[in-house]
Amino acid sequence: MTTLKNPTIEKIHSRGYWRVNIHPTMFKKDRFTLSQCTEIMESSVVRLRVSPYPYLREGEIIVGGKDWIEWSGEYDCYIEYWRYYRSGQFIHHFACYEDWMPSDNITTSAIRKLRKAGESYLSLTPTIFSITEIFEFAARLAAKNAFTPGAVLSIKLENIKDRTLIWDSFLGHTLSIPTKVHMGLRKSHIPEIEFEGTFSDTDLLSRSSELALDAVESIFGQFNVDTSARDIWAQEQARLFERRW
Amino acid sequence: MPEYEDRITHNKEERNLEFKQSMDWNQPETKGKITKGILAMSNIRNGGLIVIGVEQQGEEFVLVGMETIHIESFTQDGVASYVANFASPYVEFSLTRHAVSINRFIVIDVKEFSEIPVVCRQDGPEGLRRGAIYTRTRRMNESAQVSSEAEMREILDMAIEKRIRAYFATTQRAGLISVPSETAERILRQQAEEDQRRFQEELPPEL
Repeated sequence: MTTLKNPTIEKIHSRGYWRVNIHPTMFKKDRFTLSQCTEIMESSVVRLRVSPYPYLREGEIIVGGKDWIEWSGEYDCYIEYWRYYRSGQFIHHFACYEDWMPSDNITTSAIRKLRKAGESYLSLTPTIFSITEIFEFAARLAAKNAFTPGAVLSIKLENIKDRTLIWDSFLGHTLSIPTKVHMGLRKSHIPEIEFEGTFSDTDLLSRSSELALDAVESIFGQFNVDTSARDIWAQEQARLFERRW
Repeated sequence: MPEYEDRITHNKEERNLEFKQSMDWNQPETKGKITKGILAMSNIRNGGLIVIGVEQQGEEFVLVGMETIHIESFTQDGVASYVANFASPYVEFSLTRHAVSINRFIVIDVKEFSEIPVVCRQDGPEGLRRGAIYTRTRRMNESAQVSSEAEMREILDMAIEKRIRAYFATTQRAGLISVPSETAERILRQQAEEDQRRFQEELPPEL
């Protein structure tokens, strides 16, 4: 096992962060060559927003060890580190951008209040977007036979105790909050929230968006949000695919 | 930050981001260049943006904005009806106006093709050629005709992936195949549990 002291990872772990782990159900150490790993990552990246999922710039992926490629870096309030192993295992740690956003860039009054009170938050729509991108990415990997016959996908939100889930548009647009999900401020009372599932290739290929909504429901449920609002989350998800951020 | 602003101010062309200086849509060369750019963006993964009003000065991309007469010459309907003459089967894009500081820009947001790659259906200005498939080249970040097997393979892979996903979605909706039976799901989970430890061992403690 490699010991690693990567300053980017240390920075990510210093506040709230996401941990995404996707791997095939079957372990095969040499499933891909390193050059195949690079090709798979470059062709599977999801660019539905300004920042791609996972973040990478072509030509900047490096071979981090004999069995993996990696990318790490920072841009604006985004801090990310990912690895893709020859076994087909993908591990991605990225900071909750909300924790690194400069106060001057915050336009929503509710968030300003939280910040002033020294409280942390998680934005609802970008969370739906991120989860959808994670599943879309997994589907693209599945299309390249990266998992056959299936994959384990886990999403963890770490360091999120007492974090408030808040409906705030990614770009600060004013949203009309449907009364159905008018939820006030919902707090997580546990330090980490996890969603994990085992999926067949065909499931990922055929209904990744639905699976993403299952994960959204599960995660929001742990913030005590009304889980019957699936149609509302689906509408938000559609905005991502139509690039109406 | 207003929509697209961070793309407009990106200061570097990417494969999915092309800058053009202020231009008049009514000029045939403009129509040719923009059409080629739209066709090319539609054939890359996730599509991309064409931003008009950014001028390359040496290594720098300067936000000079568009002249008023130029910006007014671009309309969604005007550009869409012209591009439709060249795109087969079709290409989806939106054309919007944006301001950064006192400068104004046009952003054309092109979607990745939905089913099959977009082919140019007739000859036109700026070397648009009937039967050609345009893409954003990896080496130069420019819109050009597909010229390598790698570029062609990438487009074909995208089309195949779309077909596969559409096929599985349809068969699953129809209840024909693909929904794993309880037994198959159980076997998959069991297999995953058995190999979970080996995947965990692959990761260092920090990850």
